[in-house]
Amino acid sequence: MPIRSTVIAVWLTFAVIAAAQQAAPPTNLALHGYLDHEQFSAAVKKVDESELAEVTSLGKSAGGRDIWLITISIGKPESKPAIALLGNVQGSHLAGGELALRMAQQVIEKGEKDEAVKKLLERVTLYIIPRPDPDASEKCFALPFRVPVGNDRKTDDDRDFAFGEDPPNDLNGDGFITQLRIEDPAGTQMLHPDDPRVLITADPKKNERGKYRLLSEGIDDDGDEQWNEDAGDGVAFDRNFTFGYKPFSANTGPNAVSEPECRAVADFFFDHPNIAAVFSFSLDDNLFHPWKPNSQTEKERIRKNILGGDATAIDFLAESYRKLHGGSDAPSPPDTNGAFSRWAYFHYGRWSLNARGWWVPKTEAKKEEAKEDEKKPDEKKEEAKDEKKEEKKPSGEKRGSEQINLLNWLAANKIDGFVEWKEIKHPDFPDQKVEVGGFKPLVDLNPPVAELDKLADKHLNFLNKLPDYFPQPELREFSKEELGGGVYRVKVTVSNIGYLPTMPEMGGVNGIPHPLQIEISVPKDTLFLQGSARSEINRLSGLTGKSERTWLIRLPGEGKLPDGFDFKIRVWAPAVGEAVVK
Amino acid sequence: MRTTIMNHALSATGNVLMPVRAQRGNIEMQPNVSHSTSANAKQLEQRPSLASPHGWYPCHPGSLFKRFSLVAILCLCVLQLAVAQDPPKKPKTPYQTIGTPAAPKVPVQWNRYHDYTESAKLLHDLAAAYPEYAKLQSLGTTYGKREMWVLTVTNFAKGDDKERPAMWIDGAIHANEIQATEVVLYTAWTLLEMRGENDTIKRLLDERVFFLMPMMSPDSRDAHFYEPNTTHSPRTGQRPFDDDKDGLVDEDGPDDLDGDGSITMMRVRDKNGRYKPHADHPNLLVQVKEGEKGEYTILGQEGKDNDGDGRVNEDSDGYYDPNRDWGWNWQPDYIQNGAHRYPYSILENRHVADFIATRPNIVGAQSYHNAGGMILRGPGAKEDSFEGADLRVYDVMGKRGAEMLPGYRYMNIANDLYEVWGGEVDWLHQSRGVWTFTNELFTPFNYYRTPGHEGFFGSNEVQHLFDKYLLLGDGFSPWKEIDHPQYGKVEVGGMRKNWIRQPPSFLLEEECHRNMAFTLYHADQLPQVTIQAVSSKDLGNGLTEVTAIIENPKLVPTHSAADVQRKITPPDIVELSGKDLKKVVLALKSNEPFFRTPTEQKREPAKVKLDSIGSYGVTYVRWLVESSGPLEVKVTSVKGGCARKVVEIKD
Repeated sequence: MPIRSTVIAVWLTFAVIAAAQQAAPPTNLALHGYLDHEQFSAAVKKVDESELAEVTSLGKSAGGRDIWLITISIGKPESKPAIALLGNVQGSHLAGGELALRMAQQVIEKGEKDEAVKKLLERVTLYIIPRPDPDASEKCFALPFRVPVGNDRKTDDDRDFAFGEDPPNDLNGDGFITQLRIEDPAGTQMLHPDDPRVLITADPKKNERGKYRLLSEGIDDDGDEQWNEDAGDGVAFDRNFTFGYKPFSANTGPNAVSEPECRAVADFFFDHPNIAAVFSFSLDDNLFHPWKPNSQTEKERIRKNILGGDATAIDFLAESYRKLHGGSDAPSPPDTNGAFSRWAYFHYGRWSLNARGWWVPKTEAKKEEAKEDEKKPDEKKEEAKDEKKEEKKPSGEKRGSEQINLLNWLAANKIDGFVEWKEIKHPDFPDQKVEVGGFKPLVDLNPPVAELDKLADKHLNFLNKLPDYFPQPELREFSKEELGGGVYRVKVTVSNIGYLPTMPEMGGVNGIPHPLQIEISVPKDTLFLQGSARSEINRLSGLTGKSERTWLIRLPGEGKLPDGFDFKIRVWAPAVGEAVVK
Repeated sequence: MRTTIMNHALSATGNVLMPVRAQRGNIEMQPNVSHSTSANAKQLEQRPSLASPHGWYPCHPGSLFKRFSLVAILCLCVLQLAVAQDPPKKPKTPYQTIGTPAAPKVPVQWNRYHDYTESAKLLHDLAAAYPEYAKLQSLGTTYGKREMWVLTVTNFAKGDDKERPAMWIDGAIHANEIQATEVVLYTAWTLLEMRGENDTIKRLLDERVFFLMPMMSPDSRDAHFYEPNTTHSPRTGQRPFDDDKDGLVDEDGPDDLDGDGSITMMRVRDKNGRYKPHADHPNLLVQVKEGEKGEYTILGQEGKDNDGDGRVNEDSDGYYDPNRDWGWNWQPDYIQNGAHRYPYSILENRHVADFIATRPNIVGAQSYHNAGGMILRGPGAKEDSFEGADLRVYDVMGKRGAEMLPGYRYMNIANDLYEVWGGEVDWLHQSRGVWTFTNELFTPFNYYRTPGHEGFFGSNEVQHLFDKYLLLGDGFSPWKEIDHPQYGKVEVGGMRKNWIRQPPSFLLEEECHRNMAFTLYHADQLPQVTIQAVSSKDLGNGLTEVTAIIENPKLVPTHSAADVQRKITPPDIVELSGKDLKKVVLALKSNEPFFRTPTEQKREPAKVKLDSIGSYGVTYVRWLVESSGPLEVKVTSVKGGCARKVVEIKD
């Protein structure tokens, strides 16, 4: 293929130069104000200046970038239950990382002066990992702009034993990877009746015929008649965890938790049993789209659905989140194989709360039809013009409604997020009309930066509220009864007065969270006739959960309690906290 | 034919003992004298030898051997004349013990076990003694700062360790399964020490690469040897692990209360107990019948409550299972007991997996465990499956193995044993496309060579019988009274840690040899691409038809179905080249010689890709070319080696 490649290369060079001459160096305005790795790292390190915070690196990504951890606590971090807060578990979802960082900044700024924050930090430690996938996040800022997938590991996404041999190409030189639409009688796409910028899939059942073939922007670099099938996009953090892991798929890695980022995060979690709940910014939004339990499969050896009791509890927490957040039309989660969110619940056994944080709000088309009309004739095909010159009423077409909404929102907010379709010469389709155009990458995933502070506020409010629902051990009905001859009966009831159980049902199943330990202090050489100095309480449900303990003990020697001695009972678990009674 | 002469020349003045051998390698090179060697032994013995005190070995031109050969040729020619006159004297050839090298350079006693240091030394000695055939490397350092030794054995003169089909052989990932290490060590030793004497081994070293990793869990191997344990422990590694999640780590393991080095059992005299001594084997406790009074109560494994939580031995070493840690179909501990945090969260395994990933030419693998006499294949989990075509290949090898290993059964893990998620064997097959068996070494069949044994270890009665008559009572640590901090006066006793799962001395060597033989059989079945023939035909118009017949004469295909399906390793490539090759007009492939329904390869027709060359498979490749000179056909297979052949083109 050498001749072909050269031709393409030469052609591409000219095309890009030609295009570049028309425009200034491109910037991704959608990300204006978002921080790249260097800026983000600097902002994270700034947080470290606070007395309340400590910034450390959990390790390096595949591309050698630090995976930052911000620990915020009053007192020793391990001594309290913790909330782990992850920023964007998907590299493309930069807003998540910005929100996590802003929440950290707000917490240290408000500090102990703020009642709510003070209460929060007295109750819990915050472990914040704002950008768990720094490589993928950084790719958001790299030219040509496109939706990043994974870390800097070189991958063979189409499993053809060549690595990254056919990435998308910026054919019009605008700096954005958008789409190609190719006129093709065998194509499956047709124009949306209300807006020819949008393509929808033709439905043969309605006697619709496709006129276009839709590809991502690029050429067939390796001449295999597939387009942009291998960008060598790396391994995605959010596809590399053990629950529902899909081997031998694009961007999932050679095996689960193969990537340094995932290992760093998973090891940190396992090493910190005080983590009680996990909140992540993720497209797997289970606060607006709660995971569904399935009583049929609940007893199967491999749990694949959230357990019933946990679903109820998470729905309850989600309800308070939804109230704080507002909105009701959050997009559905994508495919979640190997997702961090699911791992945190199914394999780590903790409350896993995950939010998209922001999405394109429902936006009606502005009544400035005139403006749109001006544009359309330029864009439209000849035949489309004939059909659509008349007065247009919305067709009621459901297909493509998300794109229409996105166009409306972009227009309403004056965001330059769409590249108008424009004809180019394409070496792979010399005899067909080919146009480049479509949405700029990332515009639908990340809000304008101005919205972030307000969003961070909302999320911090939820975070402040969250510990109110946490389990809380209490020791009740403590009694000691001398039975004679130095024999005592000591009794206590351990209750959980918090809303949440001491661990999720799933934690009880997978055995990862530490159970409550109950310990009684007795004089030296005391004999236990019943019970033992230390034992465990597996799981107490919320509000009504309790467990009674009785010890029968015989004191040594004359059977007298030493002066000033009191039986002390202590119950604790790292992710629950402790209670003591004397 | 094997002709070995082994003479010890010891002069009256007490000169150094000099073993002198003439052998196959020698004979091949000097066919004219081959038949007279043994007859001339006597005379040869009297000649001064140039060989080293360690015995010479056949290897490379310019070596000691070459000089010796010259001398030998001269001597033998001269002496042949003398023999014709004198009646041959009784040769002093020592009797060749078949199956073992006559004069190993690294002497090893194969009826005893080797700890980590001894095993490592043996590997070093072998690598030092056979630099042309063995290379030793460490894949990394363990948690306990031991090395993960891998010995690569092959004839390096035939290519490096990435170029030819390779066999991975490992042992004792569960370190208590200690004979697994000996089997791997024995295999390495035999391959090297017998290479000069045995045609099959010589050929295998020419054709194959062997990666031998005798100790997958070296830390725990030493723990089993030198710390109190049972035959079943430690199966885990030596990292601290909070089994009971109470915030304390390994705080209450078993204790060797009687100081015999083994963890045995505790019993206490109790006239209301439910146990009494067995009528024929007084060491053995048996349950009494309903209504009958016993003499003892069993208190469980030897140990005490170390942490004062009222429970005895609830948190010992580990527990994580290194063989539930691999990258295919991994499931967490609640599903698969012993799974650690995630695949390869156990460093030692990560070292191995990383290494294997860099050697895609590994096409066969054998992992040794104990016990119960099983030749196991995956999959480990019932919801997983292997392709039918792959199973047919496994079945042929597995059934052969069951014949070679009396008392062993060929079985599937998931359906015939128990379910395993995240096992090494599954990862090798499903993720790496490697044909893998796990042998569960030692079978209770061996106690009395009676089929139909009970469980993995035989019945208690058979064990005690064997102990009494064959082990002369050494297998049992007698009951003795001790003071127990929680229970008062109790008795401690039971089977020692060094058998039940492990064969005693006199069965060990047989176990090593038979299992090695099975892996050598396996290694010999691995694919080996060849070009049976290349022909050319002038079609006129400057067009030539070139047809190559590509063959894999072995049982194992170049790619498993799993490999093809998941695209684990690249396809085999049949490449046509030549300096006068002007144009490849088209390329066709076919599975029959007449190309009745050929498949055309449009992209890169000079490099025809074959998904796999099957079990005993033949594939036909045809090109139409414009070429004025000879062409070379080269077939390259990641797992099947490579071959080339030249075809003349009539101009």
